Amino acid sequence: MSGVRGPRPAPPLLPGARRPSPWLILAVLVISLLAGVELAAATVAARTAHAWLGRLGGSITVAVAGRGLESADAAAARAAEILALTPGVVGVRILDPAPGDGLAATAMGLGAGDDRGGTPRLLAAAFAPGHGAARPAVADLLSRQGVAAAADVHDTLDSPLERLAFGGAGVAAALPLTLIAGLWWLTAWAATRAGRRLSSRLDLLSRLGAAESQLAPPLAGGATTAVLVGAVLGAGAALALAAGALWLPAAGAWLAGRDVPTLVADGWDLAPVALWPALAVLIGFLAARSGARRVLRTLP
Amino acid sequence: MGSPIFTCMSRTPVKTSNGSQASDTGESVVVRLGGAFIGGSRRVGAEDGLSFILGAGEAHVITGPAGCGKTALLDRIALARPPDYGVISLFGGDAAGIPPAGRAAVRRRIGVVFQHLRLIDTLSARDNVALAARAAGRAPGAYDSALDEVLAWVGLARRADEACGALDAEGRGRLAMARAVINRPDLLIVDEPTGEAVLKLLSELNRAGTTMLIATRDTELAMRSGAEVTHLAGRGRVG
Repeated sequence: MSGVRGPRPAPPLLPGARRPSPWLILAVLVISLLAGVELAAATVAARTAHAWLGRLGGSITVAVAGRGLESADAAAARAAEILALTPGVVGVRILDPAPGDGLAATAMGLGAGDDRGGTPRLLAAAFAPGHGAARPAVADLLSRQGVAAAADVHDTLDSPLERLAFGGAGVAAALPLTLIAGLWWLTAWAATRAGRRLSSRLDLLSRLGAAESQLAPPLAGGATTAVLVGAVLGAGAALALAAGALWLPAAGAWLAGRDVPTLVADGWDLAPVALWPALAVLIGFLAARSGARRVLRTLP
Repeated sequence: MGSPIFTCMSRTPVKTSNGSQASDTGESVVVRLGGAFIGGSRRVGAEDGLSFILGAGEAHVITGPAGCGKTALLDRIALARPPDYGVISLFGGDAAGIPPAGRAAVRRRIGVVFQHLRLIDTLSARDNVALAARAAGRAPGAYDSALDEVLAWVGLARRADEACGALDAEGRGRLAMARAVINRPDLLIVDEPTGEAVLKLLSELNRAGTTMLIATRDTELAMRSGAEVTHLAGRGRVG
């Protein structure tokens, strides 16, 4: 029998080194799940807070009282006209009278002597995006036009929302950094452990002339593969959990025929979770190479 | 006592008129030794007699009782331990000056038969030899013919696919020789050669011009080798 024989299969330099360790996959899966859920939660919280801030920042409540012969209703109509012509204001609405209007006006700072024209009236003015900073000046503007007015720019809610918005971003950065540090340490340790398990073979190969560039990749390969598998599984689970938490209540309400709550969050809020596996693999690769090199440096 | 095993032997360094050793750093000098740590922490200097020059194609035998430091000395020459005392020159360059990244390239020029052979029992005879070719950076398939040739030379062609663990002591010795020469080294280091078959292979290599450094506790073997012999006595002395 004749025929061309191909090259014989070469023996592996480090047998089993590229096989990912199940416990490392599990550990990375847990880290990735935590990181994914935390990233999704922090992103949704920060984005929601920003959205609320935008809504609040774009509106104002004005209390108007009658003065002299001008009734509260006439003052409210004049204030609405003035506000409608104010740059940045996109809508003005005189709120229907309600029993608590007088109390609200007092709470907003309208003087007690300003109610001779009847119960103060409340107006809602909406500002275009980017014009929220003009809100505190509205009361002065109306006063200069002879309207007794006080305004509430909703700042009692601004601070907590700002804290939530920016605090959420801080948490979104801080916790993943901790998890990234843990991921680095675990992966480097796993690569070092794999190297120590193969120390006799590594020593032999080194003495036979193998270079670090030949030994480091297979030694780091197993840990990197484990990180890839664990990160994809963990991030996938986190995505499923986050998506469920975001949209299942709305879906349930819709199925039950109730009002579907408006969701501030959207699918883009889950983008950081989808990016996590790529980040984790990069970190895992660098950590595994670092661990492998630590072992190889002990060789003669 | 039969005919000498080696016909080409090394030489001791030539002293100059001012007492320093003649400089000979060309590639014709494969190993130049002037003192070393041996036997753990014991250091022996060139002034104690531990010095020799091994030129290309020559053989040198180091002998002495067990534990006298033969393997430690060979390890330093093979760059398995840092040469932190004395002078060890390899292929014309100072071994102490070789950076870690450059050690692999120098080791690929050195074939080693280890004292306990260090064969991998779970691999076939062929794969044991192929591992050395791969460690030297040769691509799979690029060494197949050399591998067949060297296995035939040591008489293991028919047993190439057998597990190494199934070979007897003589077969394992032959296999270790095959692994050491698969990359056609410029220097062959053999620690405690055993068996007539291995000695015959060493003799053939010496006749073919291979430079070799051999350590043995068998003083009779050292004497009948025909090569220059350095005798290491115990306690770091050179006898």
